[in-house]
Amino acid sequence: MFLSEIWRRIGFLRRARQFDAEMEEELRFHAAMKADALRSAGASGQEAHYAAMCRLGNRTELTERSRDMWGWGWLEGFAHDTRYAFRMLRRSPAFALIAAVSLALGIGANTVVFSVLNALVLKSLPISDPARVFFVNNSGGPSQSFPNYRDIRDRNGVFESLFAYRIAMLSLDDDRGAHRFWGYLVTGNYFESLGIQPALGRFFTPAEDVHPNASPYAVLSYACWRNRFGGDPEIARKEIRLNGRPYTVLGVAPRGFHGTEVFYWSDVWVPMTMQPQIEGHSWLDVRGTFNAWVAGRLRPGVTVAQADANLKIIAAQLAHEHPVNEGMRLTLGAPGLMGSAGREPTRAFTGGVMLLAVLVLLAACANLASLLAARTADRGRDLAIRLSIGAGGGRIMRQLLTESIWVALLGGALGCALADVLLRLISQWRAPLEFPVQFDVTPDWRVFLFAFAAALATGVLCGMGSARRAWRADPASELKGPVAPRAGRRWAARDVLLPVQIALCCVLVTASLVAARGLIRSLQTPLGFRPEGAAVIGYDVGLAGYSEEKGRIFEQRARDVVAQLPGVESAAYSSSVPLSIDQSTTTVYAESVTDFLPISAHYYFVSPGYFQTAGTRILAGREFRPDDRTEAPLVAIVNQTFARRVLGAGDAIGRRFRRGPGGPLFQVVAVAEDGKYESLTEVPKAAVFFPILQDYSSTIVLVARSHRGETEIANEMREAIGRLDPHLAIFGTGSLHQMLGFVYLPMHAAVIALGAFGVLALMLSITGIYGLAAYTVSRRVREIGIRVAIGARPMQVLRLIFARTAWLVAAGAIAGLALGLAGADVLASIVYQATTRDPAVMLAVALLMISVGFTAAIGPAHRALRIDPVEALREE
Amino acid sequence: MGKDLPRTEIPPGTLYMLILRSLARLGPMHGYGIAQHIQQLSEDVLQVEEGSLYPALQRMLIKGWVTAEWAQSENNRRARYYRLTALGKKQLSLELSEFDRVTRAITNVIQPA
Repeated sequence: MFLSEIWRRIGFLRRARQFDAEMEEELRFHAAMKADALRSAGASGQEAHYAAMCRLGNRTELTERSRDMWGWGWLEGFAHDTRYAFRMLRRSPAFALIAAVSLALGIGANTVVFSVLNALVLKSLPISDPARVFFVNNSGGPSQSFPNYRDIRDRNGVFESLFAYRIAMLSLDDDRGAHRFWGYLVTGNYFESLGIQPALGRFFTPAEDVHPNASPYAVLSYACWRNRFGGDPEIARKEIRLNGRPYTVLGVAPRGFHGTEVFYWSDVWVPMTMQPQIEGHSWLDVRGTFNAWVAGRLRPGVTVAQADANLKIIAAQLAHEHPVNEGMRLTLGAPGLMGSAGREPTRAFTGGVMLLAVLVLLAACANLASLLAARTADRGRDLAIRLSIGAGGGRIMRQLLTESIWVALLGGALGCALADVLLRLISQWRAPLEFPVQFDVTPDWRVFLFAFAAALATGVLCGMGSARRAWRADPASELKGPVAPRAGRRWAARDVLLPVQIALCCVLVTASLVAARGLIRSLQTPLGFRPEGAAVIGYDVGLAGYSEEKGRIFEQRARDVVAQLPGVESAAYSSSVPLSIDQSTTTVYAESVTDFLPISAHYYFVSPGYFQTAGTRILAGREFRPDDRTEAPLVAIVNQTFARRVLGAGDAIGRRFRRGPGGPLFQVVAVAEDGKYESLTEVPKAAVFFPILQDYSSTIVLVARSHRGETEIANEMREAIGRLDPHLAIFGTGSLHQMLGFVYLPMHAAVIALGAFGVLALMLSITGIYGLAAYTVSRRVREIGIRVAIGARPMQVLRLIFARTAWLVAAGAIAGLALGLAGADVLASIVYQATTRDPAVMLAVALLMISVGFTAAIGPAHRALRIDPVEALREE
Repeated sequence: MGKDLPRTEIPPGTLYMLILRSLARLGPMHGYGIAQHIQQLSEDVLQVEEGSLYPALQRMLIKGWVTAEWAQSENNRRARYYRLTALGKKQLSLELSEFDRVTRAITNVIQPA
């Protein structure tokens, strides 16, 4: 029944034209019969005809209503309205263009931001039933020690399976030499827990978990298999050489699966049991080394609250059993961004930017709404005629809404296209880092749905005002002629829209200026070293199979070779540099027995000359010397925070501390300035430097300071080291600044995004002010003409026309500044050290808004002054 | 538009019944004939508005209560004739009994005790 009715209606759609013709004929017949009846009652032929037609009333409406019975009325009405809307838009292309472009920018900006938000926060990992997979946070941080992982895995009653993983750096050898390779160390149940199927071959199983160093197997990522192994269909069971040792490829991960972290695109997965071989030193049995990340799949039906409760008990047990776990809290979080530690700031950041993007769209909306309102007012006569010849108010409203919705949809489509291009660029962009960071922000259905919804909402929102006005319009008074402006005192929707738009614009401009200030300030933040003029090269001699003894010799030879390059003032090497991705902490204890509280400190192994080369100032004491080697007394250089926190008041030099509980004692030989170690926003942290000659690190960052270009020096360094050992995998060469890129990434992203918003907002407010000013002038040409005729001076004319607009703009700007001050918290989540309570920013915003106002008013003012009274009065 | 004629609105919902009844009595008939028929039988009390009649006829076509075909009218004009279907007959008896029930109920309420 239902289906057949739909079928009938579809059939009807095809016959719509015939329907109208038949209806017309039927009504003509009706009228003719009626006329016959009237004639036989004595009326004359003509009279009868008119009476009959009159009795029939509005035939078009009757036909439409009959057609509506078929249920497609709204659709046909929509099609009709659409045709009409496009006709009207074609007739005023300037309006259509301005409206569509401003909405395209607004919707495009929103689509881009939403897409990023979607990719980072909303989209789940490409695994089966992702809703049940959770990351296990350890006291707010991501890292867990492996023995702890084993205990949690075995004691919990809520996880179907719990796996551990770690980002690992490897080198792949082939006939062309060694290549840097990025991968994951994972427990055997990793793939099983994620519930994904290999594209080829097989994955690890828990059998690979049993014996240390006994499972030399690897799973390749799809991209790695395609790019590095040419998509070899026989790759499974083949052997590859990782870190100089043979590994058997078991299979290939499915396309689109890059691992369990959103940013990090892995090349290879290796069983966790191979960790000692891959990383050189084993921490799998060290309870105090927190190097693994833990996640798992909840049993069906287990709630997050139940799991948290279970983990709470286990955490309490572990804290009780092992002092190193003191204060341990285990909590669930969504996976993909280093647990909650990465997710919360990411969410705050993208959420804050999204909020500002919505403000851009609202400003664009206000812009379009006032354009539409002006347009409706100009079309008042046309609408009044249509109302008075019988078009229903609802019909007119629908017509106007259709028009604004189509403008919005056009703008939305354009915005989507813009966003798509931009998003593709972002997705292809690889951060200039040694680390395979990539953002897959290609839009999916959610993004397009969002853009469509945004466009539709925009259309309805913008059209509502003018449609309502048309609904309430009084045709009689409209037809009498253009309403004489009642001395411009009446409040219209436009008068509210402009200040709203200006206020939004102010907020956005404030935000972008604050972001720019924040970036400048963060670039000026003392880092504790000087990246300018420093070139770096990273490598790992362990990966190339060097023993400690040979590695030590190689590292020194490499330094000497680089130090002799022309233009190099000094060269030194260290296990890592501050603010790069590779950071380690250790626990230290003051020598005094009264205080046994461990303090966590960043540590680095550095060669003699490191401080001079890195540009870190030594405040007291001496640099490491070549004779600070294994046979000499153990020494260390600490930063100011370390000295204060661990060694207390007084001169730190000569005092001693322990590394690790019951570890060896180190004597402080110098105090270095404080710096930033993990992020620019961190509070001062304790850091300690040990002589690399008294210790050993196979991972090396070699730093050279020079007045020549950093890239140039870096290339020469690469060549020089390549000559020493062509099989060494180089991890990254370039300026030290590039190595720190990751730290500045959010800042740069914020400045680009907010800067773009600010420019958009400025453009919108210029068009908004221009629109209202131009409109005011055009409506009051006559009045201005009269005033000029009776002797008004130019300034008086301008004051007359623009006083009100100026007040509206000023009111909006003040409201916007107030809003910006109130919204400082949101900004703080986006921009480091953001404060809107910054007189420079406030002043800049005020000046910008004033200049925007003047720029926008120049055109209309010019026009107002050129009005010729004679012509103006002749016009009507 | 005929403001001088005293007109009575056809109670809502009864127009379908009146049209069905007319078609049942007259056989196939055009819209004008149906309107005339109702007006005459009701002694000019019920005036069928064209604005309601033709949409109603379309609705009834969709429902399948009537079919329509073009034919020559009594004075040689082409007219659309509506014919009651079996479904329409069933609908008519349904509406009649419902109307009867409601009228009786109303009578019971308003008759003097």
